[in-house]
Amino acid sequence: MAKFNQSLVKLQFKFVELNNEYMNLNIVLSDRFIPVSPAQFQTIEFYINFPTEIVLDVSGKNMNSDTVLDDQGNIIKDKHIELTKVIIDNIAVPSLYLKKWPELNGNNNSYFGFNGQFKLKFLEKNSFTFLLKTLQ
Amino acid sequence: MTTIFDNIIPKTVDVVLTSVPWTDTSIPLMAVPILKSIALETGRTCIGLDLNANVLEWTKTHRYKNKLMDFFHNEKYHYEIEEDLFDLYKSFAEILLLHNPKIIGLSLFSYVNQSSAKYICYFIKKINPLVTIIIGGTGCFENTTGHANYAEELLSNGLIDFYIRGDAEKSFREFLNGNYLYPGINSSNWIELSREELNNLPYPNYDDYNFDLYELKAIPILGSRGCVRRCKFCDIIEYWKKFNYRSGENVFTEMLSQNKKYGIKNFKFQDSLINGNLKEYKILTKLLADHNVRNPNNAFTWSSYFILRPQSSFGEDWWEITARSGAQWLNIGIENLQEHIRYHMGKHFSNEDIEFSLKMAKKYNLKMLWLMIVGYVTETEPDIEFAATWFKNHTEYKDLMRIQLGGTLGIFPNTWLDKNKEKINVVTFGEPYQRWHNTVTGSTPEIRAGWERYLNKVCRDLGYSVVDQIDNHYILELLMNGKV
Repeated sequence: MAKFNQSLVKLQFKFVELNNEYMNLNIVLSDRFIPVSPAQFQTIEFYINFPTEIVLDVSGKNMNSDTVLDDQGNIIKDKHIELTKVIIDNIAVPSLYLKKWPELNGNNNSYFGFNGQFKLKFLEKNSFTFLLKTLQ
Repeated sequence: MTTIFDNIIPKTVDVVLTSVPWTDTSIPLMAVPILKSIALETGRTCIGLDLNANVLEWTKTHRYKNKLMDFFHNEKYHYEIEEDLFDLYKSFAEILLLHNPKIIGLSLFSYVNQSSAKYICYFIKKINPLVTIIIGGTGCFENTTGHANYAEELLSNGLIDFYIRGDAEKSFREFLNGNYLYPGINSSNWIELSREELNNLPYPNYDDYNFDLYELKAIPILGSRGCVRRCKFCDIIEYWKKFNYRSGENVFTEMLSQNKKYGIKNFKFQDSLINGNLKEYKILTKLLADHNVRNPNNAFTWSSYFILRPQSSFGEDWWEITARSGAQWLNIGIENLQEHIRYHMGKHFSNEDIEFSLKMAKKYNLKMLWLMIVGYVTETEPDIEFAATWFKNHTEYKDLMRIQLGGTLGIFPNTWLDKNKEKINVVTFGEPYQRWHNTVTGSTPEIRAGWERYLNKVCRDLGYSVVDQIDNHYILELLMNGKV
C-alpha cells in the first residue's frame, strides 16, 4: 500500500568557494542529521513524512572576508551556497517557487550568503498537494 | 470520484495503454487501438483504454469546469479542485495498475494532456515504482515540431522510462521487442512510415472501447499522413514532410473488417485530407458507392478532413461519387473568405470554387464543417466585415454547414509564418501561440479575439451552426482579458 504522505526528496546545491574554502551545510530532519560535502553541484536524497519542516543549517561564512568587492562596491566574488533544484517524488519544484521558498528570519531566498538556519516547510498532507501549491 | 472509471473491468495483462485527459473529442481516439494491435502482434497481452472519455464526461458537468480547464491547459493551481485532482489522478493510476501490467503506455494527443500525464505518472510511480511507463503522441512535445523538453524532463526525473516521438507504429513494436535504440525512442529523430508500411499496418483494435461513451458512434480510420498543400500557417507539413497514403482498396478492406467486428458503419478519417491522392480517392469512393448499393441496410457513411479543390480538377462527377460513397461531413479548411488572404496562406482556390462546392454540397446533400482562421497575419477590419457580409449573403446554405471559427490564428514554431515573421511584420511572444502582434496593421490578440466574437455572433444570429469548443472558449477568454 502506497504511503502518500511519505516522499523522496532530492535537493541539489551549488557550492561556490572563495580561496578554496566552502561554506558548511547540514540538513536537519525531524529524526536525523545529514552533513553535506561541498562540491560544485551536490545532490542529497532522503525521505520525509508530510507535513514536516526541514532545516538547512548553513555556516562557515566570514562576513568580513568572504565577500570581495570592487572599487565601486560591487560584489565580484562571494562564498555562498545555492539551492538549485528540488525534486519531490520525481517532480521538480518550479524554479519560481524554489527561489522564494527557503526562509530565514522572515526573508525568503535560495541563495545562502549568510550563516543561519534556512527552513523548508512542507506543510501539506502529501507531496501531490504540496506540488500543486508550488504552481501558484 | 471513484465512480468515474466504474466501466473498466480489470484483467491481468502485460501492457495497458490509455489516452490521457484532457481532449475534447466526440469520437474515440485511434492511437491506443492501433498500438494495442501492435502489442498483440508481438505476442503480448494488452488492454487499450480510452480513459480520456471518462474524464471528459466528468469534466463537462463539474461545478469547477473552468478551473479544471485552467489546470489542464496551464497547470494553474486552484484550491477548489485540489481534492478532486488528487482523487482523479490517484484513481486513474489505480485502475491502470489493477491490470498488473509490466508496461503502461500513455498516449498524449495534445499539449493539454501534459499536466495530467505528469501527475498520472506520479501516482503510478508512487503506487508501483517498478512498472515501466512509456509515453507518446504529439502532446508529449512543446508543439508539433518543437523540443522534447517536457518528455526529457519526465525522463530525467524518473517519472517515465521511455518516450516515443513521431509515428509510433514501428517504434512501439521495436520497443516491445527490446530495441530501445530505434529512432524515435527517447530521441527526436524518427522515421516516417513508408507507403508500404502504412498499407501493412494491423487494423486498430477497439475491443476494450465502449462506443456508447461517445457523442458519435464512429470508428476512426487512417487513410494518409501528411498533406499535399504547403499552407504557411501549418506545422503538420513540417512534421510529416512527405504525403503518404494507403491504397483505396486497403482502406476499404479495413472498413469492411471493422464493420463486421463492431457493427458500426460510420467512419471518421483521421487524415489531414482524404482526397490528397485523387486516383486512390476515386478507387475508395467507387468501392464504397458499390458497397452501399449492394448493402442498403448496411450502407457505410464517412466523414473526413478534405481539401477544397478548384472546380477545374474536382468537378460535379467527383461530388456525385463522393455523395454516393456515403460522405456525410467534409471538414474543409476554408480558413478565410477573402481570396487575397487565402492566396497568401497558400490555399489556391477562388470564391467561385467555394460557391461551386456549396452548390454541389446542396445538390448531393453533403454537410460541410468549415474550419476558419480568424485574424490571419494580413487580415484587417474590412476583411472581417467582408466575411460578415459573405455569411449574410449565403444563408441559403446555412443548413448544410457548421462553422468552426477556432481560437484565432496561432503562429506555431517552424511554420512558414514563424520563419518569415520579420518579413510579414509580426512579433511573437511564445505560448500560447495566439500571442502575436502585427506592427503594421496593429493586429493584437485582443483585437483578433474581438473579431472572432463578432463573427461568431453574426453567424449565430443568421442561423448558422457554430461549433462550440471548450478549449477555444478558454483561449478566447484569455485573449479578450489580455491575459496572454
